[in-house]
Amino acid sequence: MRSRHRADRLLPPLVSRAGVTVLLVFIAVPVLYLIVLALSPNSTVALGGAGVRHLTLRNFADMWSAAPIARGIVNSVIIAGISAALAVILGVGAAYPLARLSFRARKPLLYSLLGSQSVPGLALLLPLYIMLAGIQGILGVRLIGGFPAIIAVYMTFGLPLATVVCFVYLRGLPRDLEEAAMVDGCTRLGALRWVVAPLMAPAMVVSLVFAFLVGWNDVLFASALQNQTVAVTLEQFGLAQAEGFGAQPLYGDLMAAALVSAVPVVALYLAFQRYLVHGLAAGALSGT
Amino acid sequence: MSQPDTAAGLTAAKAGPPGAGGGIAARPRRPRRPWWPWWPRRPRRREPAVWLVAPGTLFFALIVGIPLVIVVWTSFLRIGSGNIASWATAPFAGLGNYETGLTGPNVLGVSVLESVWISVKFSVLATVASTPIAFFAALSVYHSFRGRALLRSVYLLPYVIPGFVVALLAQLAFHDNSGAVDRLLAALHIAPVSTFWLIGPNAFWAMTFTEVWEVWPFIYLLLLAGLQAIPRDQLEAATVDGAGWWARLRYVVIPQLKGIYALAFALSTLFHFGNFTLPYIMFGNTRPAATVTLPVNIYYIAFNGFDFGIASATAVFNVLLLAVPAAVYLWVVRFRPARRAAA
Repeated sequence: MRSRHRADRLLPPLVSRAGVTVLLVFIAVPVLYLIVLALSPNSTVALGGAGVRHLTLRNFADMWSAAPIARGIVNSVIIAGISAALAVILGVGAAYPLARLSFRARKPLLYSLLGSQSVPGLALLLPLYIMLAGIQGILGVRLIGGFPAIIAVYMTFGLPLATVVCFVYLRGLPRDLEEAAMVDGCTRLGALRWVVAPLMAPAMVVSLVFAFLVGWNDVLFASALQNQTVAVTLEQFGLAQAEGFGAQPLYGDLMAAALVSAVPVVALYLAFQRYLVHGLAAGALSGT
Repeated sequence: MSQPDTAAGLTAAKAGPPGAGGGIAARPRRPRRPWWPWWPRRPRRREPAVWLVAPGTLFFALIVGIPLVIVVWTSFLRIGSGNIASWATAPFAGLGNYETGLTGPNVLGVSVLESVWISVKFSVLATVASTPIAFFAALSVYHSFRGRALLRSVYLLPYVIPGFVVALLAQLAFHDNSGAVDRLLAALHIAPVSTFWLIGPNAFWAMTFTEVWEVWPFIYLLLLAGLQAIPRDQLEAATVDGAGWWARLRYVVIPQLKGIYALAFALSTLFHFGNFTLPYIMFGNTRPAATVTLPVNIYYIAFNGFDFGIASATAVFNVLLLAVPAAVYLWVVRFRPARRAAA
């Protein structure tokens, strides 16, 4: 028992403790800096005088009128939310045949799902932009700057991960359950709806979270296709402060807004980190 | 387009027994074909559930497949600000876009080939610098102790803060004179209080440092997963045989982490290479030449210079450049356990 306990240790205790302390400082200092700046008056931040003496919550009240942050957050919630929900629905749909049935397009589909991860974003953004511009010119409808186009884009980018997460999860589920349902007269689609889908709830929640974050964190596509998301709103707010020609930059407000847009995301991630690590562990089991 | 965590799920795809997912368990036997040849063959019955894959595939084709074809096409066309909407009829430019695009000066005054070099340096350096941090972090939370779950969460913190928030914070932290970095270095008498991190050659190091701070947990996650997959008996056996921590590390752990580290190296480098958010936002108003990575350069060619032909050519070049590591990645992640592991 004792050796079992000892075998776990891969570092001498002293090295481990010292290293962890250094690492914690390395992680914590920038995070605390963000929090302190968000709590400091604009005038103090501009002069670099971030200190803990004059902390105030005023930035969190003022930031809403300094930039259209509320609009950005609402837009991002709508865009990322709808695209994530759609990505999960299509992802479950795609994962089921990929995991359970055999058909000719199966392998090519799996490979292109994986391969798409290494396609640089700009190689997609440029053609998408001119495609949308072309369609706009022909049909006379506004696509660039509107919601549907960017939702379709984020949904598609969330799709590979949603599909793969559900695919892996499905392979871990025994087939007997759905086969029993089918023996009892359920169709395969019925079995998917009534037997498999409820069991897949955890995979669906995880896919939903990750797909949501795709839309929430993106800057590249948003700045060209829909520049009123929270990320681009903050980017432009920051740019305006940096170029503020003599006016006092509202860096305190900026950092408060950054904090507000980061906290829900961090909470979501940390709530689901277990699944993140589990998925990785399952992958590593096969021995790379 | 992707977040590093995407790779997490994708890596996971390798799990599972070989051949799982292929073949239906009990397909009804097809009736024997009659000896006379003109009998109309019964169409093979398709499982209707196969069509569930169609909507996802359709969107994938529309938003990834077709654009990839179009970008190759437009890379041979002359498309300026005047004819973006009618690009289909733009004049043919041959390979001219590739020639001027790669070597010629452009909006930011940095040629695409220079940007490639900046991006390669940036992504490889960031990965290499992240490695020891990630490796130590993974080792430090392997054994069980009180507060391990909390420590694991804290390790993830830099990675889960949105990239645009980190970039904005970095801009303020590296701000000349008033930023935390300048003040800290000046207080420690390491550098003058006005080092100019956001302009000139220093900007590259500020950017790389920020990237390391932000993305090292990705490698940590993969290494931790790899560590947890090492059979515990091996560590116990080694301990019984008198192996100390260093021997366990050297002869049991490191050999078995090599594979997953190779994967982590490739993926992490790929993601650093594609990071648009950090250089774009961190240097929003200064845009020093040393930080014009390939994605930023292409973005400016397209949306500030409005030269979509040249931008397409450089984007195609970017795809080709990443095709080799991508092919290696696909070969490693083959949806079935590696042969070596099975043997």
